[in-house]
Amino acid sequence: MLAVAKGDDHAYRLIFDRYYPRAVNIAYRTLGDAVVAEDVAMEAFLRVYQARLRYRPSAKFSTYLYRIVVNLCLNYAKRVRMLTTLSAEDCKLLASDHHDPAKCAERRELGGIVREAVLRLPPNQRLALALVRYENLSYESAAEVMGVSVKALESLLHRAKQNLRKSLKSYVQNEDG
Amino acid sequence: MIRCRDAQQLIMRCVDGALNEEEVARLESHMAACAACRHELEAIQATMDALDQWESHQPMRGFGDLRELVLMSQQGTTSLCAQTYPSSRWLVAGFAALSLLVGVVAGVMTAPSTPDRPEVTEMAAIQAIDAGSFENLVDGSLAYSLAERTDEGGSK
Repeated sequence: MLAVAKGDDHAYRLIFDRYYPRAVNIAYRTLGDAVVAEDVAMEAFLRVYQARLRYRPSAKFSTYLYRIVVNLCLNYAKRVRMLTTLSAEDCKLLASDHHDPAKCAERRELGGIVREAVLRLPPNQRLALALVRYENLSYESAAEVMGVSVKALESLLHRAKQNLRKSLKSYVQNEDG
Repeated sequence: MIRCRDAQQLIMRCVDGALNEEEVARLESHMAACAACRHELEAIQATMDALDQWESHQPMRGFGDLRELVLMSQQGTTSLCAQTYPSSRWLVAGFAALSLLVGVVAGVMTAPSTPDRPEVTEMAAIQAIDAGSFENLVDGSLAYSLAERTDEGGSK
């Protein structure tokens, strides 16, 4: 980033190539929409570029970038009120499938069911999951990105896992009925 | 040995690979004697494994798009967030609402005025029936019944 601040476009390209896919996927796991996720990631990189002269390496660059992505995701979701992305019809369908996995398997792939289950989580749980489970951040890094304590992050993850276990109970092996 | 409640906490962190050696040893020691917690770990682990079924998104855009965006922002165009996703949808919604409004206003302004219904009298109805054609007969019947209603209304 220090090279970028000095006008090194090549350095910014390297940063972009390395982090853009991760930024996109954090937004994608949080918002559930690939196009919006790319918009959010692009906006994050634009803001990083605009702030390059003010950048101080007080934290890892990835933490700095992901924090912008997280804030943009939350702002976006708040603005369009899309945090509960599933329609009532989707929820009914999911609930009915819950008792008939065989029938469900005919209609939907597990990936889609997992996506729906994740998108039904509250936003903070979803973000915690996106950072730790999907982007493999440590608890400490994820907590720093989200601006919460490690304990609070663990609590979010704990509840996310419990919720997912309930939602996916019928589709997952090692679960009774 | 730790209690099941403490084991649950460790299990949740275990599936994220966030336990240190000492915690792993405590959890293993507990699970050796607790079938319920063993089952719990397997279930949570299976749930977490299922999450991998939701595939990641392969980005479609590249550095060239960012460069364009930077140029746009330097030219004073608003940022992507303000410009693209919320406003493009709001623009569509706004355009649709505006079109609807224009349609309604135009419809009201260009609608032909409804002609006044001619006053129906019993005599006119009888004349229509006397005219003899089927069409006149039907018109006459309708006119007659209207005339009857009008008379009834007037007499109340």
